[in-house]
Amino acid sequence: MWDRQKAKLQEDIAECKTKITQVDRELAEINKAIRNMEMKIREDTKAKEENLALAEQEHAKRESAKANAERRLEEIRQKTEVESRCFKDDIKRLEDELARLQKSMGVNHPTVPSTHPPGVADRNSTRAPKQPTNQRPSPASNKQSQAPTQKTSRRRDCVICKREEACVILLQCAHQVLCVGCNKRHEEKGVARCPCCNAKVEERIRVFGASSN
Amino acid sequence: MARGENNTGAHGSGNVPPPATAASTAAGTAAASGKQQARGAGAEGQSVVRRLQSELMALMMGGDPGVSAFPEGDNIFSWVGTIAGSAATAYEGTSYRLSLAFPGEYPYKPPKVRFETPCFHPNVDAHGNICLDILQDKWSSAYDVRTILLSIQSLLGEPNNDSPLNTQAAALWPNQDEFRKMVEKLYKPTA
Repeated sequence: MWDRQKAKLQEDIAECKTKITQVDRELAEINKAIRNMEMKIREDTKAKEENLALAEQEHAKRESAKANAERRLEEIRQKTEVESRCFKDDIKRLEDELARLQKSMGVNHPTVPSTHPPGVADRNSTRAPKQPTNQRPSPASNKQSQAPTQKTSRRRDCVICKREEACVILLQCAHQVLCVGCNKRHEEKGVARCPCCNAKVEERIRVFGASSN
Repeated sequence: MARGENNTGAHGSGNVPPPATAASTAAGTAAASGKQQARGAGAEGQSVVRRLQSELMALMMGGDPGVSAFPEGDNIFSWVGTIAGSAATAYEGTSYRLSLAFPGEYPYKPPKVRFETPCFHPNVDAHGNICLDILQDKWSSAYDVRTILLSIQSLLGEPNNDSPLNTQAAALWPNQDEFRKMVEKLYKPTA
């Protein structure tokens, strides 16, 4: 009887052992599954984070794009303002030129049908510049060029003050290089030689041209 | 009427008003240029200032190569001039600075000209004094700053070795290569 019970118990024990092994296997499998699930969860969280980052990046890009757009808008506005100002200035200048041209055309129009008053005005304007040219040669009277002068101008200036007209002839060399005032000072200081050729001065003659008093 | 002096005297009395107007204009210009120091009092001082101003204008407008001058500071009676050594001479490529001091009796008296830059030349001494006849006994009222500078520039290439201030330079002048070396050795331009 004990043998039968032993055999039964041993069978039970074996069955339990097999059951235990099976359960262990199942446990291992379950653990594996748990690990897989954990890995999946991690991957999911990573994916979520990545998606969030991408979303944030897109958001930032959108914001920067908005800012750039605004900047471009402002630049375009400024450019348009400057261009409009330039155009306005150009328009003003063109209008002024147009007015001038209209005036000139207005002056030219009557001349074509030969209106009398503008013609007379033109003649007067043409006469005006001629008179000074006629008057200019008259004061330039020819004088006796008895001395070589440094300047090529008609009027010979005094070599000392370089302002007044040289109208004193020094003899014997006949150089005409001093004005009245400098001649006086020249004589008072006892300088008895010509400034040009250093010749001895024996006589000083005041000469008068057509324009002198 | 044969004597011109009597004629000059007679007409001189007739020309009394123009000098008066000239004096008044001179006074006006003197008042206008108050900053300048006029040594000579009266008409002569103003005439000297006006002459120097006209010479300055002529120098600034005229384009003489190698020479230039300008008043030093506010004193129109003290100028600083610059002379460049002429080509084909021992002084080619050099630039010398000079000082010109005008007396109150200019242009009846010559200005005092001196080399500021040391110059190795038979007619220039160690202190920069220049032995040039037109600056001494041969001075003429017709000379001005431009002619003085041009004469000194010409003197650099054509010295007068008969009356040297620098005997070493006069003795060395025949040997132009050695002379050039000495010129370059003693050349110290003032910045």
